[in-house]
Amino acid sequence: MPMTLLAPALAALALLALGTAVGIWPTRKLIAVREARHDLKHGSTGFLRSLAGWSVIAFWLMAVWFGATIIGDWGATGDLAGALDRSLVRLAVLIEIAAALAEAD
Amino acid sequence: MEGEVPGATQSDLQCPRCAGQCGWDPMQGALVCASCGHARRVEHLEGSDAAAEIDYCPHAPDSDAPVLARSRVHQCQTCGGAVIFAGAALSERCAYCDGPVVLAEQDEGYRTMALIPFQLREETARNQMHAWIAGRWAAPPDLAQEVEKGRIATLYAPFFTFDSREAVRYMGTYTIRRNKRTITRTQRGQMVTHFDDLLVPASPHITPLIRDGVLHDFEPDTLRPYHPAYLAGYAAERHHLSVPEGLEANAADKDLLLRNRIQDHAGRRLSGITYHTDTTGLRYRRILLPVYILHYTYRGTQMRVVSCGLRGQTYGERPFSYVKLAGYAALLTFIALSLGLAWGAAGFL
Repeated sequence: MPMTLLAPALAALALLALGTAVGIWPTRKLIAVREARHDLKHGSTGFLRSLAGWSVIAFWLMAVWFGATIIGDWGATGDLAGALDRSLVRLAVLIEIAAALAEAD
Repeated sequence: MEGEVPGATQSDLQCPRCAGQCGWDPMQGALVCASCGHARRVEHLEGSDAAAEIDYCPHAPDSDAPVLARSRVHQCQTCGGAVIFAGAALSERCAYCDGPVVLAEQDEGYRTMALIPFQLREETARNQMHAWIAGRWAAPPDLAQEVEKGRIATLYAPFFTFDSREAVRYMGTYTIRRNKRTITRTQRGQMVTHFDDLLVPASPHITPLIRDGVLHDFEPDTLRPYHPAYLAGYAAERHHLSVPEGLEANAADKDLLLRNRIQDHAGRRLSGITYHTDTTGLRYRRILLPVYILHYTYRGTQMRVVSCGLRGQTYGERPFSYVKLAGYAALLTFIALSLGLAWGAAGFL
């Protein structure tokens, strides 16, 4: 592996490890939401309370995806500073989406 | 309705043929003698109507006074739950929390108006519970073994059904984007909504797990007038909450349901909702509904799986395997990571 790809590859592995560690709680929430949708009466208070907080699953996946886009850009261009600059547009769109999801939660 | 006192029903539970002890058989829908197998129907008093509801007016004199009954009450030393048995006591453990119980001789409770008898045998409920456990994602590998050691309690749990008409006036805010600016707007509205046979626990020991998980298939049409013979062979908790106490205990749930209906009525997500509701036409019933509760312990933590005594709908508490959760999390992270890497490498914005 060329040296230029080593650092992005290590960063990707670190993101995978961090995303997995942080993702344990959202994954548990995902399973709880699935069980509520399957087992509880839709519209009941138990159902509504079980679904509350589901947006944490989307936030987690969006954060991993966003971090990976920077690493992908960095790996392709070899320019980390440029990749960070270019990610700001994506970040702005993601924040808009996250705000909409948080409001819908 | 005086027959609610289990001690007074001992002769009612004797078999007319052999004087053996009878119990309610869910499959036959009858009282069946444990000795000779003779089955007989439960006879109701003429004019008893299970569908009847009582009007409730908060300002009218209280006609719903508790009745002091001499009955053998099994009082839990852990959670305070108190159950009665028609016929022989079935367990020395609490049906709600599996804690030890002590025997008391008196119990004060409200008259039960109707119930739905058990329609499912314990073996069927147990199978449903094990199937539910087997279907859990990210469950520890030894969970099924631990559940196998669990103990099943049968219970008639007390509930209110409430009807009401709610005239709601509400106000909330929402945001819109215009020219890259976020603008907050206020929306006001009013609506009339009804609650019909809203199931409300009449005991602090009945959790949302029991109500929303397993008893949501409850059909008021299948209620029968209360008769103590239906309790033969099962534990039951009497009604201990007054109607105002029941309404107060349900206030948080009613608030959540009303806020949800306001969101639907507004047609958009509102924040900071404030509302005022005028409640009229309040009617209630005091009923008992059948549940099987499986108590099990996993690594020192007590858990419950509950199965409905009507159709076997099952729901419960379960532990997670953090190794499996990490595996699922790694898989999802890998997918998001791969998509992100491809997106970034392609030079998309």
